[in-house]
Amino acid sequence: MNENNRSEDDFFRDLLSKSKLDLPFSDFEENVMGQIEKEVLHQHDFSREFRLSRFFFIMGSLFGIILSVLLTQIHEPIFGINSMNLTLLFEVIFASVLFTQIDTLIKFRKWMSAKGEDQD
Amino acid sequence: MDELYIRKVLNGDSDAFRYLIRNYKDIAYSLAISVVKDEYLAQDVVQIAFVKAFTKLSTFKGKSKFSTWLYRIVINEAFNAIRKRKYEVVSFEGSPAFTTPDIDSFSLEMDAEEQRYYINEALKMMSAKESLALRLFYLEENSIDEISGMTGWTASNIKVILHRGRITMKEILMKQYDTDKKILQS
Repeated sequence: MNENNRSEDDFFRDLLSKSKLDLPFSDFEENVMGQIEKEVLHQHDFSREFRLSRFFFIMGSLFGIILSVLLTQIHEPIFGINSMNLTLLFEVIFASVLFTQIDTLIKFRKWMSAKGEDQD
Repeated sequence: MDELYIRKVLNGDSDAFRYLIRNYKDIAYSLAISVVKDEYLAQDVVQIAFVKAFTKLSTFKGKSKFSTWLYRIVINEAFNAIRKRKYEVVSFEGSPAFTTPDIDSFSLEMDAEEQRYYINEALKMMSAKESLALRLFYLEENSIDEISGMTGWTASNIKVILHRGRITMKEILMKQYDTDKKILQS
């Protein structure tokens, strides 16, 4: 058939249909499934660790709040330190740790949503 | 059919992902090799893309075809791979004096296997964007809109790339063919 009789698109469609390639690696499927299995295991470990760290974060926060409330009830010096100063020192440390942890949590959430950005 | 297997994977049956691998690995490989021009790197790219598709499958909402979504991941990974490895893909530069001869002789004088060899060699010599656009448009028969969705290129950009790709391919094919013919005749 002469090229003049058919459109350029048909010509290229015909030409490119001959360029079909088969993946030349027979173990490809097994390799991918092996990596997927590893990924599944990693995800399980990751979600367990994440649940644990969330649990300890909540427990630590509650414990810190309770302790700072209890410290305000004590009016006697502790280890020779004025209870007011000790309470203040504890609250400053507690607030710093709490805010650092909240910041880490926000960054982690941002990273998680960036990981799942390939929405269709 | 894809939806059924996607649902199975999302419900915890990782093995159901094999169906998607078998169904799309060859096309994904064709697309990857269009960009990276190397068999082993293309295999790595497709492997990474499938693992990524598996881990992100929950973000696939079915608004587009699964193939479109998967090919977008493959194409992104392929361009990332050449960027990371600073791969310098040497593409064919047609000489200004070169005129395109009648390409019909190419189709008529060769058997299918020879044609396949020449076409794939030509695609390897072309720029990543041109060979990718030609494969997506003519081999996979994707529309300009679908290609735009997969690559992020604008419709007018794709038309320009396709136009340039057609010219480059004809030039490479005829140049290769003429060279080989002269060698055989001498």
